[in-house]
Amino acid sequence: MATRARTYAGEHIDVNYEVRRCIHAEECVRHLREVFDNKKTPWVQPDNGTADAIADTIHHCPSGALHYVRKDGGATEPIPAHNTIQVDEDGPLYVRGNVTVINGKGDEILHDTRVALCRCGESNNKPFCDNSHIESHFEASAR
Amino acid sequence: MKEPQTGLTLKGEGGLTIIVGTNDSYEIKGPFTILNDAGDAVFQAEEEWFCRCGHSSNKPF
Repeated sequence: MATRARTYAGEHIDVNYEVRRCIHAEECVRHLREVFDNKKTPWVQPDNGTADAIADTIHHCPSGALHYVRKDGGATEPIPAHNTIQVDEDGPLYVRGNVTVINGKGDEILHDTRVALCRCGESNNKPFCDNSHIESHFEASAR
Repeated sequence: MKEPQTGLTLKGEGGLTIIVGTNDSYEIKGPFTILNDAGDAVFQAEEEWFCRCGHSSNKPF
């Protein structure tokens, strides 16, 4: 899940960030700017917030670029009881749940609770969204 | 992203498998609910094929 991820270590919680899956939805920045601030270096500062607040914020990350490891005995990320697929207008499929992605050979490439899947065909990180739909002016209704 | 708001009883109880076929669509298996942009439940399915080339005339399928 956290392959190729960079770890920002905190006293009570470590934050793992997989840059290739980040599509800059900025849910983290909006929810908890003290910790997630893309104008600061490093942009993640886990000791500026509580582990509970950081975990709750990361649950909102729609791409699955952010994950965490609790060091304080707090709960791990819950697997949603229901699987949902949200069709984003002119954008990706946001999948949430107990999600396994496998390739055509049957090999597992990801197991996660949050994934953004490319639906414009232009991503350089298929099957994951990398925001190429913006540059390619992908148009598709959300239904 | 908000939780689904409609009266549909959401199905869960089981994992979702997304098969990414070479040069092919996403085959999605497992109980799931499709949400619109606003986060409202639109319909439920157990198996569906989603376009990933961007050229379907019946997007998102």
